[in-house]
Amino acid sequence: MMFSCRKVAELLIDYVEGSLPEDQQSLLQRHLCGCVPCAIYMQTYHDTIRLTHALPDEPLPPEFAARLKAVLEETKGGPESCGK
Amino acid sequence: MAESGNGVLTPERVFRDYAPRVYNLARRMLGNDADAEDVTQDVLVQVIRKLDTFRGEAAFPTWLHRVTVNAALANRRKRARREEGRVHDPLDAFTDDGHHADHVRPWPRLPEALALDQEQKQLIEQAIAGLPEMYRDVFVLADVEQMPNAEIGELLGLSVPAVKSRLHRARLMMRDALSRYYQERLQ
Repeated sequence: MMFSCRKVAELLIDYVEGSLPEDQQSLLQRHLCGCVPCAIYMQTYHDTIRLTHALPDEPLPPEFAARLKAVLEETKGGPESCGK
Repeated sequence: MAESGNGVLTPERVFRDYAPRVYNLARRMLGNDADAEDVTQDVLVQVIRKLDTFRGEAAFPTWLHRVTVNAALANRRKRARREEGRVHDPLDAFTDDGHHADHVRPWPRLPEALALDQEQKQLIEQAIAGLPEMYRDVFVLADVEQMPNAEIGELLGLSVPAVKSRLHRARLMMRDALSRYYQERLQ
């Protein structure tokens, strides 16, 4: 049985996490070896995950940080608790 | 005083170490800064009020995630936003006989040690904000926060197969959005 390109796209999530059954994995790999568009599609799917994993947290906007600190100081925990 | 597994949890430490995490998770789920600020404030006030009674220690970050996700979902319900129109399915970009309908172009090769520049960060944030909510929630929790699928399912009331299905669709949508950007840059 041969996989279609669409079938390959459907299975990529299981393929990249290594949870495909062996027979499906070998069919998918065989397809990727002979299909340049699917090989690119798989690589860019993988790159999408890598790029997202590399996304850092942004710091709080300064005005919001100041406002939040003031609110938290009024909350149980004491005015000294959030630093200056 | 409660502990987070690697030290005493003080209000100062909650603000310094956890406020940005709460804010960024809420911002990415809700897609706008003002709602994220409301949620961050509500969550942190709640956390600081409960700090003396919190006994989760090592589980504190997990508990904080849960509180933040629930607060973000409640914020969204309050505003009663609705999805507009039909959601584009990336798997529609295949012909009836299962071939790629469009030319699939490669992206520039990513370096091994990946550090995003400002333009890339903005691009990814915009692409996340452009995801339909039902896909965005799962994507942010799975691929940005890197939470296990089972935990995401529990948080959002979804089965693991449903989480995986939404995550996969979201990744394909993200891939399409990033592809458009790279094609424009390469032309």
